[in-house]
Amino acid sequence: MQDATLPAPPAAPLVARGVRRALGGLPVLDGVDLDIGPGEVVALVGPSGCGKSTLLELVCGLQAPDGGELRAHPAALMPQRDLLLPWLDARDNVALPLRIAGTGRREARERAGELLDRVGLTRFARSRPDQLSGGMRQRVAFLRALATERDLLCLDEPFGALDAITREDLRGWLADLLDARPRSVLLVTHDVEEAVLLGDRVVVLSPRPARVTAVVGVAAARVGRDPTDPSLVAARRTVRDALHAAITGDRDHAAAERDADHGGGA
Amino acid sequence: MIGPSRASRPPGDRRPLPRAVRVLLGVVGPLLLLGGWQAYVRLAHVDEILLPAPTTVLSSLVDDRDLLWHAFARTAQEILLGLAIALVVGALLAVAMHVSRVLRAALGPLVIGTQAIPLPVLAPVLVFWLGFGLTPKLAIVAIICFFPVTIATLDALDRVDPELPRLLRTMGASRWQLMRWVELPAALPAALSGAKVSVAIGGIAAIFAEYAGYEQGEGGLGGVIQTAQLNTARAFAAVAILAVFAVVTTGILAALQRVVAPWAHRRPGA
Repeated sequence: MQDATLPAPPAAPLVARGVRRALGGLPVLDGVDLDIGPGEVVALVGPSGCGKSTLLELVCGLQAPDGGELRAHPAALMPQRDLLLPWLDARDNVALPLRIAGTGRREARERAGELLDRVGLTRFARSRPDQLSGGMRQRVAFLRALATERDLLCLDEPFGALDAITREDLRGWLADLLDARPRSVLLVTHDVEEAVLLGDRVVVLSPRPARVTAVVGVAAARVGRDPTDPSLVAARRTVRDALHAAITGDRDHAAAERDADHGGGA
Repeated sequence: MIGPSRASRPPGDRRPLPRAVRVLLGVVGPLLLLGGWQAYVRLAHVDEILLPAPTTVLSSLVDDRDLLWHAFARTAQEILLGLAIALVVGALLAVAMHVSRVLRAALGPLVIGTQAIPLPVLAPVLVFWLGFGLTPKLAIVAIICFFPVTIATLDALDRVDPELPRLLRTMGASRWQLMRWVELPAALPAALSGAKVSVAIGGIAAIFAEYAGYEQGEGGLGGVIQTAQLNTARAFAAVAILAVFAVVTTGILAALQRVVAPWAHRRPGA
């Protein structure tokens, strides 16, 4: 007899099976499989225009799939552009999802303030976004996503608009923060190095219509990863090869189709 | 920081002049015009019933100060209250047209149409309906002034970054919450910009309203102009007061905009 008192294992924040989506009659996602376990960081890479953003919107509930199965916990989105509200200071921006969820102003501010305190941004709490640097704005945008208290975070190229040094700095900051406050993360990026530095797994998508062509595990502990670590170098090479294979494979495939068309039509 | 040098000022540099220089130029400009005007009237021996010299207008300002001050108080009341009504009604109208496509389609032509009605036609009708008191004057000023407010506000609402509603949707925001957190704050500075545009035409509207609904003793500056007859200098004095009032009111609205919407005024060079 099974022990009924054992708690059920927490359901995976994201399970996608054969997810399909077409936009304007053109297939964008062609049967995508994707799982994210509790506390797991999954980096999603793929050639530009492959449908990464569409997949992210499906996960965030901004679009619905045409087919396949998609079960996702409510997700918090961190967009590529910070999208901080210019009329709110940093603290009120972080508090925004709490206010929208119905928390009172005082409590929401208190909790947002605590979050800012804990990451050492206290002195920026009352600054408006136009008074903050790009890196600082992205930090605030990430804290806003954290403030939702949702266990699934969708990060859409979160550091794409930053200069190289700030980007490097923020990657370390993010890895530390996720260590202290574990969340399941879907990280969309076009940067292979970023994917390997931050992800537990790297999922490689093919060109449109996208499907998963490779999944590369990164075994090293997430905090304090050294990009020159041999295992990371190897992972990076594997991801890069998978990306190249996906792109050239697509080209070969298209060429083969063209030839077949030619032969059939003649 | 390197001081601004005239020779090295790059094209497209939008840094404002120092405040003291701006105020000085703002005074020197009109003074040059008045000087030219004075010289023209004196040197060409213009009949001052047709065009009084600035100095004559100035003495009228001093001599008739009690009359003018009383009239100004009335006209200022009409302009400011009418403008306040226009600001509230114009902004609400824009929000309604932004939220409802049906209202937008139904009211759009109407809103533009109201601006084509000539004041001399509109004013007597409103006076006929609303009597000779303050009410028709406020209605006329408001009808003329709401339009820039509505257009500017609607434009700002339409130009809200479309990614913001999407982000708020992922947070589970309702239509009202989107309005409260995103759309209204975005529209606020625009509504005040519209009001700034309306100040000067609001003065003209008030004068027309006073012409159409002249009240003995409460005719405002319009009444002063209407009853000045051959005392052209007094009419010009009334106009001078209106012009200064428009400049000051616009300045106050600009200051108000900086206070309630500081994010829309990034300090240049900061």
